[in-house]
Amino acid sequence: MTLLAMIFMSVALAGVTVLTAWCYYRVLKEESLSTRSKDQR
Amino acid sequence: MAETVVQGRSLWGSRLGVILAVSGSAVGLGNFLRFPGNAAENGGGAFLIPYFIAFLVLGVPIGWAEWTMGRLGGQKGLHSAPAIIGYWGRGAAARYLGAFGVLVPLVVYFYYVLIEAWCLSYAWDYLSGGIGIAREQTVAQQVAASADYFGELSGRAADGLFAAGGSGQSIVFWVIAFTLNLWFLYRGLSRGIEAFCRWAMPVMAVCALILLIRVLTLGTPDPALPEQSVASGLNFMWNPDFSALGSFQTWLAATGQIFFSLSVGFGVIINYASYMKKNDDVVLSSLTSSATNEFFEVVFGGMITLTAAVVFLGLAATHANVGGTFSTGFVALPVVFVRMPYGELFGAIWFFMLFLAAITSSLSMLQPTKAFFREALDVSHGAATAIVAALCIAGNIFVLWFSKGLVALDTLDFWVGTFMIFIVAGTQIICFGWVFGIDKALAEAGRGAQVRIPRLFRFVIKYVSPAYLLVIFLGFCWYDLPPYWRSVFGDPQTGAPAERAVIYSWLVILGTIALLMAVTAIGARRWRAQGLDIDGRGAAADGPEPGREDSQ
Repeated sequence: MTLLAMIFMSVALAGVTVLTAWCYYRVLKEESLSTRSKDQR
Repeated sequence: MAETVVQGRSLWGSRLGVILAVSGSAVGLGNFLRFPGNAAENGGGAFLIPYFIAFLVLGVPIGWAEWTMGRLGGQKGLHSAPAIIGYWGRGAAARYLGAFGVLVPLVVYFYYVLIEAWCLSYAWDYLSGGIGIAREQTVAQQVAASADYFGELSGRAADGLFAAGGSGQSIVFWVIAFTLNLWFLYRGLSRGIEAFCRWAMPVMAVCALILLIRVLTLGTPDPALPEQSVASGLNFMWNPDFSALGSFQTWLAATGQIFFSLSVGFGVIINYASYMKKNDDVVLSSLTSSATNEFFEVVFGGMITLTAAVVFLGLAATHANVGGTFSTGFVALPVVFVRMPYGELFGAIWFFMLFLAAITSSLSMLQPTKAFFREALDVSHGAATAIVAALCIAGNIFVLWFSKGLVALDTLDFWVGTFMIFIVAGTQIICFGWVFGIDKALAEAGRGAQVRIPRLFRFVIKYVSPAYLLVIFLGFCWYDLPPYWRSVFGDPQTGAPAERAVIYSWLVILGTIALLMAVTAIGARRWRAQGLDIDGRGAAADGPEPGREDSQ
């Protein structure tokens, strides 16, 4: 496997993985906050 | 899980539910089969440059527009593409163009559920011992045997209902797949589609992860053939060829991949988002579902399919047999599973995963159609489901009957599943950025948003996205349209007339358009009589219209 192939693959995989993880982190954090505030009410 | 109904409106049970439902709609066979072939043929790693540019200037902005249009439409008591696009486009022209947002999912379903049935049929075959390809044959013989098997299952050899396999296997699995779709549709939004997607998406991810680990740990199975290794497979897929970036075809292929993979312009997201609450976030939700689709496509699609093919078939056979969705998925990969240790097990997991990818997409095609008939004709939930079922059975039998060379399937896929998506997406982005007004539209998108849309996107959505879409559409018409045009009107150079199946397919398309236009006209009269603001004359962000009942 060439170095360039490895670089392109790593950047693409890391990019979509970080983006997806960040999105779900924000969504789930908001969901747990809204569930907690509903429970308190 | 009970159906979530608030003040007569069906709603999603949770925010994660709608995100997974939209992601399920987007993740389909194209993620695993079309993306890797497209990338390998168009510059390998370099393909990812136009691919991510298209993601940023087309996929993400149109996604935001669709989610926002749908959510506001829902607040106005509207749930179907014609009504919602008519509202945003302020009049009858947008409304009738919006009818294509029902045509696309309905007609695509006519053939898509058959492909879904093939996946289920293959999964069953692998669970019960494989598809009968001998291990000791050469790769070429195995590819030929695999192609024969697929030809028999799909009925490629001849027209006729039972041409698809002497045993009628594809018919049996079509009935199973169709019944499952109808069952989840009938159960409703949160109890049916959402509940299923909340289960199916994680299972699909687990299946893909198992296959990814299996493929990446294959090493070099045959030491006598050192070039058939995991590293060679990854290199085949990812090695960048920068010269490909100079070709318009590469940009067309990358944009097409993003465009069709994200389900934008399909009429699905606009319907799904209409069941959200007024202040539910759409910006992060849209981004999350797009990111999920990209994760499945780049990580799983980009690592599994071609790597496995190169390891077991070699570079030459992979070049020759991988490219199209069907040739990759139903011809080349079954040969890979014959040669892989425990191939029956991994074959079953692979095709079950494809089946889940397909059914989460096909469900999303039925829901917009059902919502349209329900709100336009003011019929009950059961009656709307029955109308959709009747139309889909007729469409499915048409495609099953005209199976020779898969001409009918291909014709519907090209003209409706590709060409008309441009019309829907173009109409949406123009209505969002120009007719409704970009500032008002972005203010609506920002209501309840968890993340802010960067200011740069005001310019991108108003100017760059429509212009980019137009250039890609013209390029598509220039490069891809001529052979399909000749297939409809005959080839003047050879004098060959149009094929019968192509003409009948066009009659199906035109008949469906006429039906949807007529129902849109009936619906418009009803919506007006109910006092609904279907021409978008009222304020953009006031409360829901009175007097509307659930039309999920």
